[in-house]
Amino acid sequence: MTQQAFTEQNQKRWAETEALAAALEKGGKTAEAVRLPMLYRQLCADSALAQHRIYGEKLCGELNALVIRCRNLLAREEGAAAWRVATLLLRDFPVALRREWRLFALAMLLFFGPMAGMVAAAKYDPRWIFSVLGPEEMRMLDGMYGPGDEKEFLRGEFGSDFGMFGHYIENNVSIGLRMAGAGVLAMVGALFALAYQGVVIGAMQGYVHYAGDTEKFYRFVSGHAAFELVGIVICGTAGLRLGQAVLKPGRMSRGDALAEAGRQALPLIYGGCLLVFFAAFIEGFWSASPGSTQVKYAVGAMNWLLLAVYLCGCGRGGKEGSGAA
Amino acid sequence: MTMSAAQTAGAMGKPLDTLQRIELAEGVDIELRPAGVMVRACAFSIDLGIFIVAVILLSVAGNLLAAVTGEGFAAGTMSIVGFGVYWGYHVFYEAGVRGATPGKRRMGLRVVADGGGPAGLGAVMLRNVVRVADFLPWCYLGGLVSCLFTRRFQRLGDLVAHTLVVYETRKDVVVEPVAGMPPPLPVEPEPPPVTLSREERGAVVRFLERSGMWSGPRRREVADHASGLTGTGGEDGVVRLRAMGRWLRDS
Repeated sequence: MTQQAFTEQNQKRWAETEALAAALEKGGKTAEAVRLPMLYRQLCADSALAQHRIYGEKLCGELNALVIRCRNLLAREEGAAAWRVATLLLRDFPVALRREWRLFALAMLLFFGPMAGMVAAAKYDPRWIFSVLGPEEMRMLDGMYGPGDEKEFLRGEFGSDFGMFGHYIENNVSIGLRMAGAGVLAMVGALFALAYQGVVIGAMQGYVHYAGDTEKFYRFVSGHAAFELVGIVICGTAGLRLGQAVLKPGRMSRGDALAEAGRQALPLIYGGCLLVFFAAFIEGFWSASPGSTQVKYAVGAMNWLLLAVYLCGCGRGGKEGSGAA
Repeated sequence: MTMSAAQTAGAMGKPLDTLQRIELAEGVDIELRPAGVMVRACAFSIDLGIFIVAVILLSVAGNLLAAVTGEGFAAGTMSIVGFGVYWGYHVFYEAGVRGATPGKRRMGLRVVADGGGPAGLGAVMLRNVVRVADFLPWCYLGGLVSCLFTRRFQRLGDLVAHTLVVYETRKDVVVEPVAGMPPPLPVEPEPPPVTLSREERGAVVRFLERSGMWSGPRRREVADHASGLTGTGGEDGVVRLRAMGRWLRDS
């Protein structure tokens, strides 16, 4: 059969397939959609024939493009968003974190180690803190947590809670995402960012110990500290996981190892960011509110406990080998 | 008979071009054309332009909002919207039906999973989170190096997410003689002297189709690569190769 005869014989069907694909791509719902699988199978057969008989680049190319378009329509992931979110939170995220517990421990050490060091420096050699913070930052901290009245808690203006909430989301979640992404560079990005954040946060905390009102400080941070700090560390863990594929691909090629690492790090990125996001809620709307110090501390302690129980216990006893496992 | 250049390449397992052939469960091969660095940079520039315009419009809107609702609320809203645009622009469009940001669509590109199917939300998320690393140390140098050293032009984000950026349509492939180029001599179909693989047959037919788009010397240069097959060079080689192309295509 010549190319011309082949084209003439099938042209009408191809046009129909293309029209249907175009309609479906626009998101329109049409009763004709049920015909797509059949048209697609016929199109596949045509494309295979055209390739086998080498019917010229133009025809083969057009059929190839149409096959891909139809396949994309048929393979589209749809629906069940709530189910996927629930699966992620209740199983995939905690399971993924426990599987990467070694990297998580490393990330925790990298973050909380420098932080503790800086706090200790407040007692033994505050020059460390001064050199990290600089005068600008110290003045700001004096304003927020210095001795004196609690004017910083009175976010008087309408919506200023919301303003801070937005700021925390933009700032903190971005830090988490960058940490995860930069980790792919042989872990260096994540290692550096974790330690850097630890040093900066530790220096601020240390400065408050040195010169400020610690009760005021801990009353503010206790509510959201657990979710925010651990969320950031988990994002860093995701970055370390990606970098590990470059450093230590095991028996896979580096390309395959990277792809595998991506699959395993994804729930960590989602989970870590959700924790930071949640912390921003607390930080924005509750942490600065007036209330007794005991209540704030109690809630803070409970949050650490809740988080530990969630991360250690959730998703155990599920079907092994499914999903992220 | 000496082996043709095409046969040599085929035997070494080296692809003749950048096409990625993927066999589907439906029993047909699809061909993906991964997009190179230049066209992707163009697409990114368009997206960057849109992004900058969006940021300007948003800051205007933010100031208006501040006048109505007060500083705090407006600042919070703008932070959240800004965060959403910054991290969500690529994710939103690439995970959508078309699988392409406006810039990519303009350049005829699309993000796909490396099996040719649509890239899911997770994969798109990953490739855009890793964008940070691709940007380093400066102006996407990391991504550039990664693209140049991978067979399918994948930046780090693509490697992690198992995705490709491919040409969506083939509208740019016009296989018609170009005015101003010397028209090739008409030829009679002639069977090739040896059995060719499918890739090689495809290459010969493509030469036939495209030879009208090139100047005479260019045509001869390309045909000389297949001198092992035609047994001759120069204009004779062009004629013989075209004759084989006609035999392969038309019979």
